[in-house]
Amino acid sequence: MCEEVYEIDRVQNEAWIRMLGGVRVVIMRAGTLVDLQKGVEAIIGDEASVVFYEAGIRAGKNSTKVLLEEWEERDREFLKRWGDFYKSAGVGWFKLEEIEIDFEKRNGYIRIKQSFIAEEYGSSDRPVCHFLGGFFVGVLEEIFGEKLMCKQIKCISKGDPYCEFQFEKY
Amino acid sequence: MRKMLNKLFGTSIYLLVLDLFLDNPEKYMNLREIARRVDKNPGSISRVIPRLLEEEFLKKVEVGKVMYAYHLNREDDLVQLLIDFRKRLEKLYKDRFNE
Repeated sequence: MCEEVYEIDRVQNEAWIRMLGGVRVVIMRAGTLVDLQKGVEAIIGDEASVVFYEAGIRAGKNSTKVLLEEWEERDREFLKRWGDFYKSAGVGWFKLEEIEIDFEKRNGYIRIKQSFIAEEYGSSDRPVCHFLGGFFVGVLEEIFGEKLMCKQIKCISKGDPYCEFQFEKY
Repeated sequence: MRKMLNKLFGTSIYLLVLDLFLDNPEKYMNLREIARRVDKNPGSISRVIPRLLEEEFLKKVEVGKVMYAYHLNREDDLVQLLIDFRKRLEKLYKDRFNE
């Protein structure tokens, strides 16, 4: 288990804070992204889920490019470190509970707890972590170089004990 | 594929999928084919299909154990109206903008 805590560099008297070799990051209240999601939902309705899913794919690809440059680990070792990075040792987005990826068939699932989206969103009759679903697609596509799609089948917002995302190659 | 509805009403994957079927009123397509034709991730398409079914613009048929194909609900009067509307819109764009 990686216990590394990632350092954040703060540039005195400027707005910049950086991590991982100079990538600019910002610290936001977790609910800010959910406010954004709810704001978009209020205007465009159900299709907001597509907006956040597609945005997640883009974000997942871009952030994984940075991590692949910074880290030497690849495949399963990379995913192990990646899981740690998204917990409190890194950026605090979610706690990875289980990840099962078939490297041959390019399908599988990711199970997480403490999704920052689901926890902040409140109760819902359908899954709400559209951005994370897309984000995982972007991450896995960048690692495997294959086209994947994702469906969130469980979400703590609708009363499930964890959030689960299923992947499939297409 | 000509994105007539997106051009008229603004960018929307829901309209993009509806447009694809209105342009191919007799065709059956599965999720992957729709995604390929509109150049989007199938995960995005799967998020707008339920509403297209709910509005009865599309119909779903089972083609395998967990595989489905979708086609335009041509029996619906509103869908017929939309097919006609799209044809006239396409002609108008051609005449007006020489597209």
